[in-house]
Amino acid sequence: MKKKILFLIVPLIFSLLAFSDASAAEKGKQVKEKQVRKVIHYTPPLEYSRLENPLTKADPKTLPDNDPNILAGKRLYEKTCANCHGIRGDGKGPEADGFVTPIRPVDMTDSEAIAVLDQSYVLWRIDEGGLGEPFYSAMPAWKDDFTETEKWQIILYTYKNAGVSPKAK
Amino acid sequence: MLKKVFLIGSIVIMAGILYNLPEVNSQGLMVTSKFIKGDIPANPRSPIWDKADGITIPLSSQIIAQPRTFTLPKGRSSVRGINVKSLNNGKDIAFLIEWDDMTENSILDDTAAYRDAVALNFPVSDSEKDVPYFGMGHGEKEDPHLVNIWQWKADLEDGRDRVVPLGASYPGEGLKYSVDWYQGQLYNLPPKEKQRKGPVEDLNAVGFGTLTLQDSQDVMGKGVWSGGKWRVILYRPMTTKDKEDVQFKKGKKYIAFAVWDGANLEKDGQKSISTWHELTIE
Repeated sequence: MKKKILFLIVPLIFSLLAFSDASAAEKGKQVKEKQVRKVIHYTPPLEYSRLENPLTKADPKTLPDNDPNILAGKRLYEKTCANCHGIRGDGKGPEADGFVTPIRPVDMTDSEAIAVLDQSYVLWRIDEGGLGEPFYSAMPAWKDDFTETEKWQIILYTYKNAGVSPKAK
Repeated sequence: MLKKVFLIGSIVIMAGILYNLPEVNSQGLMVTSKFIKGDIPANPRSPIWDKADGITIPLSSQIIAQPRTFTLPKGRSSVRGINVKSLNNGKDIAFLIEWDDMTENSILDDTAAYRDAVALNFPVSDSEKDVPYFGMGHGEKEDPHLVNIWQWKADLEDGRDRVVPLGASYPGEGLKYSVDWYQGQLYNLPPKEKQRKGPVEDLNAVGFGTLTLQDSQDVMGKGVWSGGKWRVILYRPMTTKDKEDVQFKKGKKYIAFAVWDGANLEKDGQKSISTWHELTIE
């Protein structure tokens, strides 16, 4: 019986803590004390979640530096993505400082960022950017700026550069 | 039974987390509008501004909407940060924006540069759940998330605002300048209803490419350039009758910024911007 009560109470306490964060947002002066949100994950549309990287089934982290897709991805990443996400993928690019709310440019090396996502999710974020629910971030929509192959190459390099593996399908 | 309870509890937790997702003020800086007794200074050099604490707001290149800043001569926008101060007396509110700019671009005739400019951006609604996208708002006609933008333009300073009709973006584009610079004489003034009151435009937007000049122009301002620095004030009564205006009262609002460096050929969407920061009005 005690165990049953415990299972009932513990989730309720956690849920109250989660909701209390919103009421804290109402108190303007508490900005500095608030926990910094580093990532926002959401459910991708079905047309994306079905996709797999057509260039390789290998874990991008294990691809050699001279892999043609990695080299192509590196060139594109450094020209565009690195402005905010940084050359090393740590979210500290030269354009990052002005974009602080609702989240900073994501640190790709963070274990809660792309490491918990599959490659199709990253493709969705590259395509659509941050102008939409629930993100409203400064991430541009790159849908029309790269070919599909280029996007997958960027994704491969982003994982390799950050030293993390994508979540398996 | 235990599994069911745990499942329900987990769903409640997830709902709580998702409920918090669009939170805007998780990391922003805080601009404080200090309450003072007496008149708000209409001069950017007034010593009254010393009463306000300044805060440096970092800016980044506008790379979200086309045209992005990658095509600018520098490959990015110039201005990396601004210093912001604000004062209010319960009736009027003013903002002083200062930033480094080695070239004054305020006269556009026969120059290969655009104007310098600065803009303040405010959500029109006070609702926490209705916060517009920091990049000029968002939404459709049925559900607009409107922003009110105050844009100061350097080329409208020193009385030049009088000869550029409201609604004209650039005097050099399809309009003849009607100023004798040497005599300071103005002629061919626009019709009275098209005349400006000052160098600031009062605008609205619901997304990129939707910038609209308001019928009621309520914002005043003054900018001075010296020593490689712009000092610009923008001020307005704290409340107006215009539904498309931001309304100020003691408490909290959001504010975002944009700056254009004319020497770097920045105009329209090619500019330096910030995301939302908190504005606390004392």
